[in-house]
Amino acid sequence: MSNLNDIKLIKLIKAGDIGAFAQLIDKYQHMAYTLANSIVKNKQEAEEVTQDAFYKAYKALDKFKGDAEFSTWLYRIIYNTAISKMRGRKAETSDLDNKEVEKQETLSFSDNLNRLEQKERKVILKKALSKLKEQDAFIIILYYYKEQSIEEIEQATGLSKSNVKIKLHRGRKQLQKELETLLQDELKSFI
Amino acid sequence: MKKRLNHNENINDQLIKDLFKDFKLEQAPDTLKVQTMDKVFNHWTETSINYKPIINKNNRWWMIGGFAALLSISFLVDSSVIIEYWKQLNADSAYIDMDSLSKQMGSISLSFKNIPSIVYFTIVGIFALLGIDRFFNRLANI
Repeated sequence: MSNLNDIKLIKLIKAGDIGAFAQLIDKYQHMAYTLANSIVKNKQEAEEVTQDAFYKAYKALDKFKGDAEFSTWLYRIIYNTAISKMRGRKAETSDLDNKEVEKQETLSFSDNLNRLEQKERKVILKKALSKLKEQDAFIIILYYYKEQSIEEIEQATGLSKSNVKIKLHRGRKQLQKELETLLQDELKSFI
Repeated sequence: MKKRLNHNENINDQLIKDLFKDFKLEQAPDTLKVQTMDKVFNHWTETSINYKPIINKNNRWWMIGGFAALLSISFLVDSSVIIEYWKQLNADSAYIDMDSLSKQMGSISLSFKNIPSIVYFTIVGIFALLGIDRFFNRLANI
């Protein structure tokens, strides 16, 4: 249904109705910005990437045949634009690899999560996502938030099925690890 | 042990799913839409718009052929009138056997006359519908 609306809008855009593209931006800008930010991890750059991605999508609209959903096609452009941006940027050494995560055996992951309020959960999840590797965070958001299938993520990223699965598995593990660390810190601050 | 690990992974997977139920998207800044639309508008004004002709080359030949066929049919139907006019002009009939031509034309004309008029109307109706459908399809895809 959503894709049908998108296709109607795309037809209007192709017919010269630029206003219809503004409607597409309205619909996808927050998701696009979140995905871009999950890769570049910088709000200024995320905005640039999102703008570029929408502009590229507009220029390439004739190439969109409607085989896949428009959203998947757009996510692919966001992914590629963000990755290009990352390549252009000087490689920064991530402190994630060197970080030693202390594990407390006393409380389980689920127990700790349940102790938090909804608002705190949101903050902690965002923090944990920001610490994931670029592509992993992108895939995790599509999988858990957009509830996309492996096949859809494959289309959105251009990665192979096995590669998506590996990144998803790695991302999930890393996310859990980060969440555990953040939860421990959060709970320590209460005590 | 493996089973135990998978079991734990499934629990954690479910926990992450639950956690994502509260997930809120980052709010894109207002400038994003404005600046993107500026770029799009600039591109739109710079790009010349090329309209595809409603009748393409292939269709043009079909239409010319159809028009020629229509003309020839109308000529056959009214050939007797033309022949009469020809006779009035006192053309030299030594070179053209007007009688046999008249007979041939007359027999073809007669065969057309024998076809019930409903057939003509049906054919015209079908072609009109096809034409209208094609025309509106073209309009929709401009």
